Amino acid sequence: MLSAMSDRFSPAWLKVWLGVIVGLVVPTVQRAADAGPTADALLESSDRSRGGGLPGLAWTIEIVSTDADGESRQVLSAIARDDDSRVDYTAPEKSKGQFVIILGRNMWFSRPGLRKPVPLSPRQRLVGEASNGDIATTNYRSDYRATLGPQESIDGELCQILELSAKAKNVTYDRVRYWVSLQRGVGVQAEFYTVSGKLLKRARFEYDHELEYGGATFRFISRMILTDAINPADRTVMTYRDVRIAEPDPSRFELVQ
Amino acid sequence: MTRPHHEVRPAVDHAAGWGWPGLRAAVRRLVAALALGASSGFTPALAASGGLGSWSSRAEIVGSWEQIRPREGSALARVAGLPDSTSAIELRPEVTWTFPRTSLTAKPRLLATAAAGDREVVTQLDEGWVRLRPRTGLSLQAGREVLLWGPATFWNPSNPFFAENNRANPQRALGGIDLGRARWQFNRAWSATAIAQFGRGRAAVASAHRQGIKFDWIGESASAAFVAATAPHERASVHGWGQATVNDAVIVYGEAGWSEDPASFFPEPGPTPTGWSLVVPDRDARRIKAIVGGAYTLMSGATVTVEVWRNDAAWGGDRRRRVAEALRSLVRQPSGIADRQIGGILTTLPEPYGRHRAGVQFANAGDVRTAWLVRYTHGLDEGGGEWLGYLRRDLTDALQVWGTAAWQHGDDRSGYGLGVRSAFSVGLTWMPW
Repeated sequence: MLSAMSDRFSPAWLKVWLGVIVGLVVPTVQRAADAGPTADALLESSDRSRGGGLPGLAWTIEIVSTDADGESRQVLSAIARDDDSRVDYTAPEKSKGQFVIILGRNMWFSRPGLRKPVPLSPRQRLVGEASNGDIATTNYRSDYRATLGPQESIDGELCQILELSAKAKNVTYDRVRYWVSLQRGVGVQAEFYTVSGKLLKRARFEYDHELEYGGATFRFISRMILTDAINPADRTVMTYRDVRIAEPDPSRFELVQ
Repeated sequence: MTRPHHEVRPAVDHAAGWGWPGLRAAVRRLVAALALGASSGFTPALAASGGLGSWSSRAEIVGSWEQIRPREGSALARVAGLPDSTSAIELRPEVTWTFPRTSLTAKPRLLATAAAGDREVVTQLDEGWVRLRPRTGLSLQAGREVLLWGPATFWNPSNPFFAENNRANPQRALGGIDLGRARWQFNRAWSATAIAQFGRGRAAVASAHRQGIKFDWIGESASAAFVAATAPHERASVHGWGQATVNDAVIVYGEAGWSEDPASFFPEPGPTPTGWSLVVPDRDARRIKAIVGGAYTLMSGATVTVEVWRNDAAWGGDRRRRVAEALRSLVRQPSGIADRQIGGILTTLPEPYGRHRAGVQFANAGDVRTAWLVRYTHGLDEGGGEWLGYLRRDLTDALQVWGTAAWQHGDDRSGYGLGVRSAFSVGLTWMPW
């Protein structure tokens, strides 16, 4: 038996084994290198540029919506930490004092007359031109399963299309088609779909802010332009200002205010 | 089982003042411990509060006209002297000063009303508090506050401090109770709050000195709370609520409380000029108050809410019939003692009056130009019910017009048949800044 094993690992046999291993492994490694970054790596990178994976974030968002009724403007002050966020409405006058708290999949809304925060279902995140789900930070990597789609150029920039499907039933959108720049690692365009497969809205993203975290500098979202899929004239522009990385005080997420 | 009116006193003489003698002391110890724990951070907090800080403010001027139609010959209409209509204008400013670890909030009110030739102007502080955040996760607050919690829409038995939740007419302002509270956030999921009430403030609440402790838990798709509370001359009570997000459109929830019956005047036939005596039934046990419900959100964002509740502290069939009989008899009698007895019965009726009720509400999404709400509440034991509607339209970013309408039906054995037939109000709300 020992002699049989020593025959199998003789120099001649070793050459054969090496040939088989090299023949199998090298093309696989080559294919992986050609394929570029994985879907997960692209999501991680693009999430960070929209607030995901940071210890905490504070920002001001100006929302200008245009629809058949005309133009309306809202200003929000938001803080976020992982899957939790709080959005305080600061303008216009009629919205002052309203706030939304999102803790994981739980969501509450309150306004001065109401006093007690009202629980909202995830579906209510979809309501409005810029839904509450759009206002919060993005953690697509934890919320969605991603598969690689084809590559496509957006304004001359080569992008990898990621097909995202919700891991749980209670995320904002059931399915997202996400164009991620292969050069910058940021989400450039997205299409949002309902459970029934209906296209709800399209989004374009701009990244004119720069943030520093963990010794690295990276691009951060400065504008999101949302277009309604059914009425393309209904358009919402979200402009992000005063963006800073800051771990929020946990008491800011307190429901009784 | 009952005592004559003139002997009214707490049904249970708690020598220690509490059903669970240790609970009050435990709450006090917790408040002291939290305050002591904060003390090392307190001085730096004040020191860091240098300068004038930043401030924010908002204001509302609400003008309204309300018409109430009492039920003909009802007991409530007789003793309350309800005017046909009331006009009111109210200034509601709200100011918050924020320092690094301290904030001050004040919500004073200036209210002018005119009804049946009488005019009145009052100033009051609806809410106002100071809040300290001496260290991460800890907040201390003292002042006047509307302290509400619980996921249910129609009733909140999980809250021993506040019965009213103001969801029927958001244009109406609530007044707060005077309290201090300390809240510690242990981690993302768990927090504890110790609450010590020291006055009724601007709210019509049963006790001026209630204390409680509340533990909150927030999970990934669910949340819950447990509350224990005590008040002088009452047994300690326990309360709780829980809610879960079932899927993207459905939320289910429940609230419950296990507390002593409210102190109520109950009519018994007696040798008085009116033929009735008011007695206070012995409050010999804690009773269950519970509500379960669910909300379904349509694709449009409108939400249907259905709730069913049970109030074992309310009065059952025989007692409800006795109350109706007494009120019918008293209404027919001359003013004087009869009025006082009617007032005594009506002001201490258990709320909700019936033991079993159900409610359904249909409302659109919150932050929209036109907001509407329709709700119906039905008494499952005694029949009767109430329709309520609310409509608000934004005329500009700072001006809203709104209206409410309520209509009650049912006989005088039901809580809906005791007084008001219908109520209607319209108003304008202007937010100058």
